Amino acid sequence: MADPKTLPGASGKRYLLGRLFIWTLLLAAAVLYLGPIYVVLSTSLKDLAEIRAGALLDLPHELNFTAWREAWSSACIGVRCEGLRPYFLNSVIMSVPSVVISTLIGALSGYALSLFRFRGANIIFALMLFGCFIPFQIVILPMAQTLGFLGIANSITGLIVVHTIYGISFTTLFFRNYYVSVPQELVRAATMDGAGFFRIFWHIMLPLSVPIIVVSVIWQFTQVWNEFLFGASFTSGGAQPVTVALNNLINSTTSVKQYNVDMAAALIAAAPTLVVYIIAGRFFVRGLTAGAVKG
Amino acid sequence: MATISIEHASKSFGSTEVLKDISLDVKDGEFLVLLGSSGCGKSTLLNIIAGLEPIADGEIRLDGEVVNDVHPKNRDIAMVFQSYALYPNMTVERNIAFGLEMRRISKAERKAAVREVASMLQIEHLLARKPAQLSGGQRQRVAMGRALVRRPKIFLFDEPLSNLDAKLRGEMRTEIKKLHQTLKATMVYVTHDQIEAMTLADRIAIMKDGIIQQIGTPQEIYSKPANMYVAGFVGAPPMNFVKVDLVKQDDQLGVILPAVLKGEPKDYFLPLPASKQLEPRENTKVILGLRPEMITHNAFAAPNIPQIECDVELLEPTGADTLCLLHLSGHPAKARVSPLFACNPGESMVFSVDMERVCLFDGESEALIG
Repeated sequence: MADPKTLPGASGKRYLLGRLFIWTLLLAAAVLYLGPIYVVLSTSLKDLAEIRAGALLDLPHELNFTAWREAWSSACIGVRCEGLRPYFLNSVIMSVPSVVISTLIGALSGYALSLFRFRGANIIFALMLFGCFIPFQIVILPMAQTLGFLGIANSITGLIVVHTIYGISFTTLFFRNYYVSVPQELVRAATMDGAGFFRIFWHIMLPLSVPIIVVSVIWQFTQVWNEFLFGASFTSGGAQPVTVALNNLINSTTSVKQYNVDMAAALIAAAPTLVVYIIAGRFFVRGLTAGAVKG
Repeated sequence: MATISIEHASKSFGSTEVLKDISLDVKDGEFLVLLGSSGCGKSTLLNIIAGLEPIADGEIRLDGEVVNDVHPKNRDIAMVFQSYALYPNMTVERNIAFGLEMRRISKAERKAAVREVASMLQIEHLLARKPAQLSGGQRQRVAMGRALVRRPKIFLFDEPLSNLDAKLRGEMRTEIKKLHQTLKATMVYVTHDQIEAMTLADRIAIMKDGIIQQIGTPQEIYSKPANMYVAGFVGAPPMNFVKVDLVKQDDQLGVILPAVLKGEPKDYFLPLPASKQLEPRENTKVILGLRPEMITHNAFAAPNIPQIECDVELLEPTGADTLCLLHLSGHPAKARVSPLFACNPGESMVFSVDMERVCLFDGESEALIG
């Protein structure tokens, strides 16, 4: 595409005015979005006296990490005073397998639905898509019964199963739409070379899928890590994920509201998704649009 | 030894029949070209031989053995695809070796086989690259290498040259022909390009609407086309078709060719050679098929060759020849003359008509009658 600045008739003055308008708008939006994060971050670095004395938007006098330490390892959640750490680990133990398993299953089913088109593939795909639109609340009761029946109620294993199943609809959609733009001839060539369904998948399709794997991992990780309702419904006590623990930490404060600890805890709980997004984010947009344009 | 024999094969996709009762034999070491426009079923037929499409009815045999239910990988067939279908994540070396890898051939043997094929195709310096770093012609060579390395008994080509530019296409065409002469393997080649078909084939099978119209050597197809479709498809510019009356004059059977001279209609009687044996059809309408080179300048023609004089509307010089646009029986027709003898556009010119080589078709069935 041609650089708009070099096009004939793009006069300097009007161009600058237009730019100025866009920049102002973007700046305002950025301030609006970053404001709350600033407040949370600066409050988490103050002590209680400073919070009470100062204004909300003031910078902290010094970098004081006491509240972070407390939120991580000694804040009381219910009767246990071990901070967020055990629950954070619960979330890690829950998220990693859920993300890996649902991404792998999504890749496999997306591959089967797009490159090994069988009779009824479209109907099955449409039915799987329904899964993307089912609200969490609808499945809570039957899911609780099922988990009880399987003997994995109130356990991290139960949450892994729930999140994996719930994620398959989305991951299948991602991978299926990515693979429809892969030429069918590739599969035919590999078939002639003697590779079967799984070897084509493993040797050829998976190495091609890095962008969409990143999308699937970010999406699933964000969903599973941030999820609250299933965690609150299907677990209690020691098996709870960090989102539920965060809620309990803030709600179970009895005397003085420790704003700095609450803010630090919120940031700790949110950190992993931020980190994943920052590391893999540049692949995210690329991967999301990868299947959209053919050729 | 590798023969292919297809008997009464048919295939439908939904309600459309793509192959209708196809029977075809390919001899050992033969180069057979399946020629036809898109949608005629030629690629489907190739996929059936490869085993990539199941056959609905009929039988397919390789070396006399029925392989209807044999998996593609067990048919000992290699295939070169139109898009090359190279594995984008693998280096050229691994692309070529992949088929051997899947057949659990040892690493050392694979390496040796790849080297050999690479040197044959002159792509040794590309072995470490990925397909994205190759030009179209190089990708084409790698795709050939992938087929060659397994030393299969049958090679299938699905329009392998259609993504190359004209010059490269010509070069690769020659290489494929050389390859066939060296390997003496059975090859089936699908194309819609009649020049490719004519230059490469031992025999050509022309297909239309899922039916084989004619099978024969390129020369047979060109000089004795079975019907008007074949006659029109092969040859560039295509054969001229003129509707004419078959009559007898002075005890000689011939056709009345309506031409235009100085703006006025003028009919010429052109006697047919006795070998055409069309007496029973006297006084009926038939279709006369004249290839452009059969209507040519009169300078060196033998005295007994029939001549016509007619108006030339415009000229299309191609360098070696000049094409003259005429009007025969109210339809445009092309004559091929040497540039040395071409008249000016708008003038009239005397042409000799080679009645020994003309084709005559039935007006109804469009089949060749003489």
